[in-house]
This record gives sequence, structure tokens and C-alpha cells, in this order.
Amino acid sequence: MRSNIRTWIAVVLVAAAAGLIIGTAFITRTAQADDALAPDFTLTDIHGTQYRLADLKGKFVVLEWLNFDCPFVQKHYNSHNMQNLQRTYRDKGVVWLSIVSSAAGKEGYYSPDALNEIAQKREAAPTAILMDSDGKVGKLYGARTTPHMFVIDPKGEIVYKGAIDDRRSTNPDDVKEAKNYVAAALDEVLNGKPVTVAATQPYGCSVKY
Amino acid sequence: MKSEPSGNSIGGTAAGLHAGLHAGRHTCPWTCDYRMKNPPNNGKGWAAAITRRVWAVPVALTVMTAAAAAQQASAHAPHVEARLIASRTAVVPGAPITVGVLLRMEKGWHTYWRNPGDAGMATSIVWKLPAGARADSLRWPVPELIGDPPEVTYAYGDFVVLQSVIHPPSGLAPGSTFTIGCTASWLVCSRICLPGTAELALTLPVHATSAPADSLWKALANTRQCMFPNQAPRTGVTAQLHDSTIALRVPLKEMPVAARAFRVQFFAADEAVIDHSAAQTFAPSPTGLTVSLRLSSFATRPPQRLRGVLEVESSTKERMDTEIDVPIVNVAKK
Repeated sequence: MRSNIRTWIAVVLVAAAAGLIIGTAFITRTAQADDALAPDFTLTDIHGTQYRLADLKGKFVVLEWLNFDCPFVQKHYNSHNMQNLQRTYRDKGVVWLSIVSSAAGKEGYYSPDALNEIAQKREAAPTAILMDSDGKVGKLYGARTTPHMFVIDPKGEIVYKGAIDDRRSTNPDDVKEAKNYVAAALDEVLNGKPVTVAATQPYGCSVKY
Repeated sequence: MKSEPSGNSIGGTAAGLHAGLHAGRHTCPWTCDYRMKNPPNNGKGWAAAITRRVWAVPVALTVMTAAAAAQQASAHAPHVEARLIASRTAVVPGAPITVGVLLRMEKGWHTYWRNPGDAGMATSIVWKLPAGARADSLRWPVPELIGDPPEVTYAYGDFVVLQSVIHPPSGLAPGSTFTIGCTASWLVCSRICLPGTAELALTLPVHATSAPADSLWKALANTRQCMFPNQAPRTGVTAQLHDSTIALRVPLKEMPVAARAFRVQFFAADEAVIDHSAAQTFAPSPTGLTVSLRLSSFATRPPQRLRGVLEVESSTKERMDTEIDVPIVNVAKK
């Protein structure tokens, strides 16, 4: 009887310990998953439409931090690199959100109407240009530069974050020679492959919070 | 080329500087002020800016006028004045000569170091030299930290002299001239950023045997913005990665000022190695100095090498800057 009780206690202890280990492992995995999970946000675009990230689950989403007056951004718009990426991947079902986190009065801040006018002149082709004048979403994502790019998969995980390409310059001619990290990541995930380069240090102008 | 300022040890120069300043009577403004976001410059012009930083005020002024009139090629771009200058007023066939692009920024504006940090872009200099001449790689004076966490850049406010040693061919004919040209491209930033570029050229006479030192160069040579970190090979310097901290250790014999370290700053030459804006803590010991650097959040795998410049300053403003290039040993292997 006594040994039965001992055995029973031992079983319970082992089970508890195993549970603890499994639980810890699970928590660890969850924590890692959370790191990759794109934080949800709701922002209004320049036409007054609200966009909530959670509503876009099931789709690939690109976030592009945008400041039309930044020479690094101009490099990618003057060369039509950004517009080409936007068109190419929107055609493949990707949602492309350009986010303007410049605070009112700072470089890159424009009223929604003015932004619309500039975007049209530039032939920009994102799904939407979102206003983030209080910088909340920029800070939530740790957006450091314009451009700063994020690729989010249909499960809501960030599969790429960082620079648009590997040429830290303002020269539009460099676009031809550059390795475009966003295109590479999108091409991989759209073909069901894991992303080879999942994070890089972004380059550009500081975000004008 | 004994008097060439290139390759100067800043530690050595600091001592010289104090002598030149009649230690105690003046303080050296560039040592004291350079961490300010907007180094003092009243905007009254080039000469005024220089005189604040060079103790030999009358000499510098005279030199400025003469030099500007004589040969220094310069260009004005928005918020930046670019000028090509040389360490000597003539070229000797086959003898190396140091040339520099002097960028003078408008108050509140800055251009960037070789690793610009969290934003910005490194200045680029492309030399255009006569046939048979070649240029060594560009050398960068020690930058300053500009910006606020979480975004910090390595940059130059006020002015900087980016330099290369040029090797003219030995077949140059004395009495002829030698023209050094370059394209300088930069990004200049304040609250906004503007790319700029300048085509510069400097024509120097060719002398048979000796070339006098350039006075403007001499006047600038002891400023922080003209001096390089000490590049002598160091022994016993190590870098260890443990979790998310890189511990850089420098033996005292390699950096005597470290025993009295008052302010320490490591400027990383590569991106995605350290967090540029994180506070850097340091601990002097009887044998050396340990500087703790936070691993960059952009590092996707453990970085292999720690390259950059370590600057150590004592409370008496004795300063030493040294190049660091060591492997990073990952001690937290799981």
C-alpha cells in the first residue's frame, strides 16, 4: 500500500515535471512566434478609408514607410523601382500599404489631399497610403528609416523586415545593380519557400516622428 | 614625409595639442565640444569657423586668404562647401602626398562617416588622377554621435577632411603641373536630408626635390576633424559575444589612457553589429578596459568581426582613438 502511494506520488511528480517542461517549451515557442507576429493596427488612408491589419489575414501584406521628400525614397520613386514593385506584387494579390509617419510640420508630412496629388504625380501604385501622423504605428513597428520595409505573411507573421535593397545610396542608377530584399522575400513566400534573408538593417532618412 | 599629418596617433597629438595650447590657459574646443549636436559655429563664414578651432588664429586667417586665392578648388552646394586641399604646395615625382576633401557644413547640418549608423549615407570620394598615379583608400577622421536614441548616426558637424595618400608617378617632369581631381558625393542632413555632389580639381606644380608644407593643411592638421584613429596593430584586444552583449577588451599597455577612462565611445564600422544608440558601459581594471556593447537587433546571426574605432577620453581631456578589428568569439554557444 505504502509503496503504491509512493509510486503514485512519483508518477504525479514526473507528470507535473513533464507538464512544466512542455509548458515552458510551449511558452518559449509562443514568445518566439509573438516576436514574429505583426502587431495589429488601424489607420486611415488618404481617401478616408480605414485599414485594419487583422482584416487582411489570409493575404500577403507589405508595409512601406514613406516620406516623399527623403532622397532615399526619391531614389526608388525616381527610378520607378517602388512603383514597379507595387504593381508587380499587387498583381499577385499582395496588399501594399505605404505608411507616412511624419509628424505635422515635419519633412514628409502632407495633408491627405496633398499626399494624393503627389502620389498621382509619382504614379505610385500602393493599395493605400496610410496617415500615421502621431507616429504610433511607426513606433509600434520600430520603423527607423524611410524606406523601411516589412513583409507579412497570410498568418500575420513578419517574414521580412529591413532595407529595400543592399545599396545604401541615394543614386537611382544603383537600383539596377542592387539585390532587392523585398522582391526576393516576396518571390520566395509566394512560391511557398522560406525567406532566405529575413532581416536586414534598413537604410534611409530617419523617420520624422 | 615625416611631417605628414596622416597616420598621426591622436594620443600623441593630444599631448602636442596641450603643449600648443599652453595647457591650462585654453581648453581645446574640438575636444570639449564635439559631442554637442550642433558644434559651435556662428555661421559667419569659413574663417570664423576655423579660427574657433585652431589656436594659431592669425596664421590660419592668413593661410585661408592666400590658399583660397591660390589653388584650392572649391564648390558651393546647398549647406556644404567642398574644397580639395593638399598637405604640400607642390608635388615631388614619386613622393606620396596626402590630399583631402574638406567639407564644411552649415551650422546644424552634418555629413556622414563610413558607417553612417541608423540613417544617412557615407560620403564617397572618387579620385581622378593623371596616368601612372594611384590613390590609397580613403581615411576617415573620428566622427561624432548625432541624433537621439533609438536613432543615432555617426557623422561630422562643422567640418571634416576626408583624406587619401596619392602616389604620383616618378617620371613627372619638374616644372610641369600635376592635377588631382575628384568627385565628392554626400548626403547632408539636418531635419531634412539633401544629396550633394562636387567635382573638384587641384593643380600643383611639380618640384624636383622638395615641396613645402601647405599652411592651411598645417592649421587644420591637429583638429579632430582631420585626424585619424591610431592604426598601429594592437595585441591582446578581444571581443566576446555573450547573449546580446559584446564585450570589447583592450589591454592597458595598448591604450594607457584607458586607466583613467572618463568617457568611452565605440564607433562600429559595420552595420548590424552593435546597437548604435544603446548606452555603452565601460569598466577600467588594473590590466585594461572592458567596453560593453549591445548586439544590434538587426544582427540575424552572430557577427563574426568587430571593426571600428574606440575612443577613450580621460577626465583631463587626454584622448586616444584606436582602430579595432578583431574576431568576435561567441562564448554563449548553445
